[in-house]
Amino acid sequence: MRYFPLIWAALWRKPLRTILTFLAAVAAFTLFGLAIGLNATYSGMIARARADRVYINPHFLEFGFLTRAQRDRIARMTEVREIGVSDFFLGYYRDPKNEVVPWFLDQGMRRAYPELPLTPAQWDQLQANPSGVFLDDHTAARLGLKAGDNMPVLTAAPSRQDGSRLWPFHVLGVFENPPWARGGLTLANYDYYDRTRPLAQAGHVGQLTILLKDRGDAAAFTDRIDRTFASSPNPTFAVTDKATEQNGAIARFNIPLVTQGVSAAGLFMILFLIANAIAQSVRERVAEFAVLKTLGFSDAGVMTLVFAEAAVPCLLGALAGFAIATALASKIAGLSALQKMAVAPPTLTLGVLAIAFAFAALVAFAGAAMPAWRIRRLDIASALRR
Amino acid sequence: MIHLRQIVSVTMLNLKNLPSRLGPSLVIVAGMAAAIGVLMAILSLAAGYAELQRRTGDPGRAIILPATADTEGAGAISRDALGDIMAAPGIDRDAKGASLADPEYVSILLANRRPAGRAPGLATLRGMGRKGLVVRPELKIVAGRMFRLGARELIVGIALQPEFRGFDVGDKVIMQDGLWPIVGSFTTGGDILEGQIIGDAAVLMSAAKRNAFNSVIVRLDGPSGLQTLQRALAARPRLGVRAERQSEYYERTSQDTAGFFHAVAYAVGGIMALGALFGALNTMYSAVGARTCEIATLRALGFGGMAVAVSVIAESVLLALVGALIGIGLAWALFNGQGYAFGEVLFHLAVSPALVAVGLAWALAVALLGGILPAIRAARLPVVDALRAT
Repeated sequence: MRYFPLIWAALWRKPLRTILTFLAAVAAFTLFGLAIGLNATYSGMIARARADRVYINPHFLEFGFLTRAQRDRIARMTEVREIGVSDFFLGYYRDPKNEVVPWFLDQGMRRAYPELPLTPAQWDQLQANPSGVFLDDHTAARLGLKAGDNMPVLTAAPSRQDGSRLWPFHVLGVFENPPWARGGLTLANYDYYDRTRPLAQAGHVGQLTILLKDRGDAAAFTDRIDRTFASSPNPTFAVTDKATEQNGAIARFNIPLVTQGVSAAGLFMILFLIANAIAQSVRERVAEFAVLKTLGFSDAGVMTLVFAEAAVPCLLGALAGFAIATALASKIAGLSALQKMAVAPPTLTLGVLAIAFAFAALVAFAGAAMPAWRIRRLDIASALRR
Repeated sequence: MIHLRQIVSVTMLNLKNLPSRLGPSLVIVAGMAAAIGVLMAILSLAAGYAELQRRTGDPGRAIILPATADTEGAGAISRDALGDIMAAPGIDRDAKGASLADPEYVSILLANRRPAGRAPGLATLRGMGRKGLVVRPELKIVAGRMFRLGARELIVGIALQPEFRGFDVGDKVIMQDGLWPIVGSFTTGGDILEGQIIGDAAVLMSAAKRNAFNSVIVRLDGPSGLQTLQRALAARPRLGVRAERQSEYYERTSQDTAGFFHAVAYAVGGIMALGALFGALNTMYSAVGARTCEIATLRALGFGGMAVAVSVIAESVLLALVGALIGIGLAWALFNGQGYAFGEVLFHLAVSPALVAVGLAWALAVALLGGILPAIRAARLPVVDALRAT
């Protein structure tokens, strides 16, 4: 700390240079924060995936479907601990702009997908009120609905036995949006859906969610399921929860590759800047360092001074960049274009800040290494003569 | 004239001195290389995607969709309406008078990516009819053979094969009610179909228990064909369909994605360029600082402030352009031609000449902004003080 006045004085010797270096570091670390924050979002999604969970989809997403008979057969398999049935459709509330995607759940989903933010009492309520739905607060706010309201939903094609397109839901309750469901949740009753849709579709299942007894089994189990139902009228495509989350992360963009590339380019850009700024500053003050050494400053001491002078604008830039990235991330989270592309916004956790600081220090260290070495090797006598 | 000669000679003098300021100069070069490299890399996504759509959309073709459907995926055209649609004027006809129109069926299936262990992805499954090859003559079989009409057989585009496992000629694909063999692979010269799987529309629809086509692709009869067709379809509102030039269809449906890529590229590139600008300012100010004595001497000899200012800007522009070219070269070497999967659309990244122009323009803008303030300072240096500065 006793070095601080020295470092401060050195930084403000050429204020323009220090400020420009700092600003370049801010730009680089704003990008770094956004990029690594995006990585954090997706690695969080993948980490959240359960090793013992498997989803079974129809092989053909558009026209395929699974059946209750398949569900019963899979439920009897020895590996299976829990099995849940779900389905969905696309509709809208009042105006085609107000898209609604009810997610119909059977009671098996209670245990097969325990992350669903419904309390046991709410699950019972959903079972007792077939046309009831639970909304998350984002969806409720978007549609302007609250508990007790009616929520008629229109579908594009006739989807009810009576040939009607209108589903008369009512809102049972509103729960807090869980961060993993950015698009919002509309939770509804599968048995009601199954009873009410056209008879030709009765017993169809959109997706099966399975929890296995043994978490090591998932990949082998998906293969077994797909082999079992190949060459049947309802071939399956089973995927592990891990693969599903990874798919979200990399199917559209190779997120890690893009974010690491962008971060690296930003750091590369400021590395030269820092290296040059500190080299110039040291070159201008060789005599000053010689005096310090004459006064008894150790080699390690003067080297620390050089490193610190490089590190201060970097670390401050990292901090400011992180703050700007945080502000930008909350701004872009609301952009409809991003939601349309199903891209999640960056999460700027303290972990991301720590990584930013580490890289800021690393860049400062790499940039200042040569000048610091020069100062360490400085021949005092000849330097003082200059 | 004297001004021009002065500018040239001072600029040349300055550039000859550049090697002595190598360190600071590298800041501009590296900064611009990084900023323009990143901009080019992300824009190459947008350019590759746009190029794919452009190649797919043929202005000589039209796509007929239900009036309520925005995309072919959302389309449903019943068999009843088909006869009337195909007989509509404006559609080109062959020598026997048969209309050059092909109803298509589109669906999506889940498939395993290469290499094993990667998350599964989506692939488009397209059904064509007997006029398919006439309407889409660019489709050429490169291995194996064409699927036979009425048979449960598939052919696969060459862009799809490296992305997904189990789609080589001879492989069998799990389909509704059994396995279908892949009998051939095809190229379309790099359009969107090259990343898709194709079979007989009628057979696919019976397997899928579907009774509606998604779209009808037609060859237009001359330049006024589209208008004639549109008028004919509009005159029969009961058909409930409309025709759109295929090139316009692909332009419209790719707008959101292309716009998204552009937004990301310009946002990221913009922040990078800002960083590079601060670097350039720093370098040019220190260059002016290092040349204080030289500049003062020149001024004392009678060279104008303008000549000195221009020499500063020229240096900044030259360094920035060198950096930009390095960035463009790196982006080109690393990304140009790379295969990329965006959802079920497979395409190649493209660092096109238009992109290179954008990159150079950005570099020029940053160099001018970064050079102008230091140039003004250089031009205004008080000669007497500056001479004493040594």
